Amino acid sequence: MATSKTARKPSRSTSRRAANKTAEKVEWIVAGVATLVVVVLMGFLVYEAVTRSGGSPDLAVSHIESTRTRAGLAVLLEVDNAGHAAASAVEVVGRTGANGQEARVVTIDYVPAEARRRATLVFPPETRPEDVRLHVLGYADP
Amino acid sequence: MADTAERLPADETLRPLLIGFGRAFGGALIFSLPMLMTMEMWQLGFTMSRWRLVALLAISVPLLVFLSRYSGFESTRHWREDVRDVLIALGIGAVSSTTVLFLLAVLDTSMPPSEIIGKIALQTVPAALGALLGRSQLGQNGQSGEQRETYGGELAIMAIGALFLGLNLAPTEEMLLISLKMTAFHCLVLVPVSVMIMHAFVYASAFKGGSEIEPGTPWWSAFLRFTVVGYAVALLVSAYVLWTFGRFDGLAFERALRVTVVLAFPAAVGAAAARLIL
Repeated sequence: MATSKTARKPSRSTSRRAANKTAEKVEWIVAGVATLVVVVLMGFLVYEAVTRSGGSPDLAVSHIESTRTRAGLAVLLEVDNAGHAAASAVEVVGRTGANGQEARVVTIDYVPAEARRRATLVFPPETRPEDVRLHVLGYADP
Repeated sequence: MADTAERLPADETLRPLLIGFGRAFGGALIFSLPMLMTMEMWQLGFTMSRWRLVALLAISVPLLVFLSRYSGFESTRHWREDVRDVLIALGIGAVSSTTVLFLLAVLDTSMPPSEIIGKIALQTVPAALGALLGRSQLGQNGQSGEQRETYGGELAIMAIGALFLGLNLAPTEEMLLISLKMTAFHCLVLVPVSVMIMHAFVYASAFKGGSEIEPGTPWWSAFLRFTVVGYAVALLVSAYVLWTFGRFDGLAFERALRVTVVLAFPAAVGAAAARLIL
């Protein structure tokens, strides 16, 4: 019994040392992967900061589809921001009729840079989808 | 016998390591969930200046190394290990933020990369702070609980507490709104009230025996060394966080100062309470 005890001791401490070494190695590998993640994240942000800083939003609105709903003609629209700055409180108007007398307005909270956001305008049921003309009225700087 | 010796490496390497990573994820979640579920934080992800976002990440590395080194959770080690732990914490912060934001449908693959990266980068820093705290509590080398009490360490812990509440509240619209409702007189009262509440916490932590204050220290010594300095730390942290989130943009100096005083109130409570909690 005594011999087995004395024989075990060194084997345990060496295996523990080996274990600590493996743990160290795993930790350094994880640290390497984490560094890569952080460097990629920061690299992307620096690239954006250098190439895309400043400027203003560049908004365009397009008609995606129209569906007849119980509320009337629902016109699904998409605002696309091609600029390098975000726009907030984007107001979009849709007009129908010869003089554009029938108008519907919707406000979109935010359209980030290079992003698209969708909204819907609802017109009277008899409105023809091809008569609807869409415009961006204005936006605020966030 | 041989069997236990064989099993030992698996038990003593992977398990504590996995527990450590698990704790780091837990810490990251506790720290960052309030921010992950705050609408203003998502918007800041695409509206805030990219340079400030880069600065936030870049500054977080030395800041977190300082905190990990002086907060005294682990006994003296090589600074290289501190840097490694901070990088792991940042990685874990990025992974946990990404997972939660996609899980909550705040992020989806139709968004432009700048929006996705911005939202993740902003959440990574508070999550990393949580991951660092969660993980270092474990004591990887079995030397946990051996806290060094240094003045720098006390200040580092105060800064963590101030950052915790400051990062949670600074992105909200309410900070500006409160500062607009308050008159100059309100502001004038808020400063000594913040300082008094802080001093009560410092006094309480002296009772707990965690603080550096020794019995017999005159009250003004603790007041000057911990409370006043702690309030200055809270003010600095508040100003930095507000500036980072663009809350000072377009504000006159005295208005910006008022918002800072408003945020410094919770930040001071966080700074003072951190000593008791951590």
